[in-house]
Amino acid sequence: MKHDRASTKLSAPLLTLILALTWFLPSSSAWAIPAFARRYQVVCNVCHSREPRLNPFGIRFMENGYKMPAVVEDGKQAKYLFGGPLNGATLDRVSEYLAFRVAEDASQASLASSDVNSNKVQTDFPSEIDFWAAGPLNGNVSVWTEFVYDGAEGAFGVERAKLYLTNLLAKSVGYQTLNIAFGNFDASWDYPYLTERNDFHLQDPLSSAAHMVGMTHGPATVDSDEFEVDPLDAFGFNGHAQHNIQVYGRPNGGHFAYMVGITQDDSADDDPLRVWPLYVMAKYDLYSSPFDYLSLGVFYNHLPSIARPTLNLDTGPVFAGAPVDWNRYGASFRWWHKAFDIFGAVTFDSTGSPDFTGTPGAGTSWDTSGMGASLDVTYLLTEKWLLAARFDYVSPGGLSLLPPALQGTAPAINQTAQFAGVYAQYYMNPNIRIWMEGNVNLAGVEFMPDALGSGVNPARDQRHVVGVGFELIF
Amino acid sequence: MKATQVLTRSLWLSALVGAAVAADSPAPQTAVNLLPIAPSQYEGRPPVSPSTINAGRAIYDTSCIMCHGAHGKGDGPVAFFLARDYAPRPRDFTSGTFKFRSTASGELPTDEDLFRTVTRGIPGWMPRFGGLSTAERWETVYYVKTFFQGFGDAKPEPVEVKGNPLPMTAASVHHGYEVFQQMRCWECHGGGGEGDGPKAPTLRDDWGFPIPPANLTRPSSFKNGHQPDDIYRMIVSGLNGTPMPSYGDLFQGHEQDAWDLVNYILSLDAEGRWD
Repeated sequence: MKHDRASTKLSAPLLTLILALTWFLPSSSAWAIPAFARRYQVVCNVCHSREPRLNPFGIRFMENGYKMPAVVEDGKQAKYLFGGPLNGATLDRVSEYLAFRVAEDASQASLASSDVNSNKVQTDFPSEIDFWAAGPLNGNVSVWTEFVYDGAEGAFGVERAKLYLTNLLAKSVGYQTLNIAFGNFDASWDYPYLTERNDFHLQDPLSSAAHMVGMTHGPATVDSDEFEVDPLDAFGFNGHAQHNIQVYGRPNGGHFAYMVGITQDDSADDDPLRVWPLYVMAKYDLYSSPFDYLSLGVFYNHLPSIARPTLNLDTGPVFAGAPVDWNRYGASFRWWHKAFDIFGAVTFDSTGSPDFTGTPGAGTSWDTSGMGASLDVTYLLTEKWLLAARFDYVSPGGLSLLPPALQGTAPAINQTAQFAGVYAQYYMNPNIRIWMEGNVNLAGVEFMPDALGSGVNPARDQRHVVGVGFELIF
Repeated sequence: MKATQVLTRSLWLSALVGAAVAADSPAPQTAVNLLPIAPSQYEGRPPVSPSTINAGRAIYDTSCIMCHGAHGKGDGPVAFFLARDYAPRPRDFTSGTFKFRSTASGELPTDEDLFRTVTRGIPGWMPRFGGLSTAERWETVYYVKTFFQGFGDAKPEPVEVKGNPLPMTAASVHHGYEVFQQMRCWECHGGGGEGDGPKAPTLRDDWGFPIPPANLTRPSSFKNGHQPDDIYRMIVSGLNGTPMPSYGDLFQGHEQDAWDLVNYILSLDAEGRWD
């Protein structure tokens, strides 16, 4: 019954994989906020190519704390002023701060393994309800607060909360040169680098993958699975809502943008439990040709003591090395021409080398580097139809080969994987859209060495995912 | 005293007190973006100089370039998405054709016209930039003018506004309706003013894009403003680059007819602003 035990043992990463690949729609994405359209009395396309994807103007609008680019003071635009100095009142136009969204989706994932959840259609209604309160409060202060009801978990809570302090020291250093944002949010939110996970939900986590296997992310190791840091996991800069402090800006509102921040994350050590990874981003925007926008960027993310190389053999011994630092760097581009929006990114990961000397893991082969790349092409066919195709390539580092006696003839553990996806979206009107997508794992099935349970390699287990959904946003 | 009398008197007293309080309360001051711009904003404008033009360029590069393009041709990356193959596209400043003017048909706009558009925006399409300081908006105007050399020596003058807005009486609205019929406004704007006249599907702007006529029952969508002055200005000066002609000549000597037409258009409002 070894196979059964192996299946059970792999259920956690498989479930993680399913969730990662099928939860493309929920909370990981930023959405169009009709409240802003109400406030500024403009169509959605002023800020979005098609919702929820931001266009270059929308990115600038968000950077400036949901105010028009170059505008320092705009909080008053959403206020009624009544009366005089003694009996006056300032009332907000509430509808210009609030928005909500209801989403429903259904998906079916096919797995190579015999996991009991394979091939089941997953659906929840509603899959998600979002409420937002967002916008400039006054002068240099803006907020974004997002409350989410998660249909799958039946829970309601604050998903993201972000406070913007914009245009600081504007008279001295220039407007939009110095801004600070802090709160609980995705570090990559404002700048969709390395991934458009937050900008376009198709194959959500793939291009933001942590390209390592056999690492434990967090303090506990004994009960953890050998692939706890899944090759398709998103964390660090690409992680979901986390505590963040970031300084960002565009000197004098120009074409060069920078961002430096720290985000709180779990340490691989028990003490301290928290670490503060650093991320740095720089990009340059070009608008030189008609209807063209080209953005080139580079990125660096340093995650101290964030992961622990782990060997969790099916035969019993568990070994975890000392925590290692993790560095991620990469470059990306976004080229936009009329109805085409093309995004590409390449990322590289490197970690410290584990020391398994004197342990059952002695002789383990370990790749200290990994890489991934993504290419995403979107085409706005008509005002109502958006089509997209995407390709992701993941070449994980981390645990590669067990000691020869344990590895046997099994293929390397950190298998590469390629994913292809197509996506179509139909907008009944700007508030209602229907989407459908299909994703295929192009890599062949590979099984793990017996010593690890003979399960299917986590990067290759997913065969395909198809899904449909709709959302209403007001 | 009977209970009904007490109740009646109480209600009257409440109404009187309420009316007194209401009469004593200052009128609400709203920050609606389409209200006419305060004259003070036209004053104190910075001088035209290389430094103010450069300052305008910095603002343009931050706020305007995405739609109007690096060279002011209305071909920024966002321009395509605003309406794809329909009007309106962002203004091509290099063409010298401007829709929102106070000047005669075919003329360039005044600086104040450009300033007004920057400040108010265009409902539905261009965000208002009233949040910029007065000086910054003027600087933006100065830079925008550099895209068209015709601005160099031109001194565009606003058309003379003759007559005055009329009280919205039944007689005025009725006469406005007659003018609406005589001028054949319905051919484009439709008999009910909903922008569905028989010519509507065939209309195109100077760049060949289909352009829908204004839905007169939705004043909030009037791109050039929906105050009586705005509508009057649109009627007598037209919208350059669009099928909306100038009727200034036809109203010469009959300016009050134009104001009656303004009242009729305002009476079509289905948004409740003029109830």
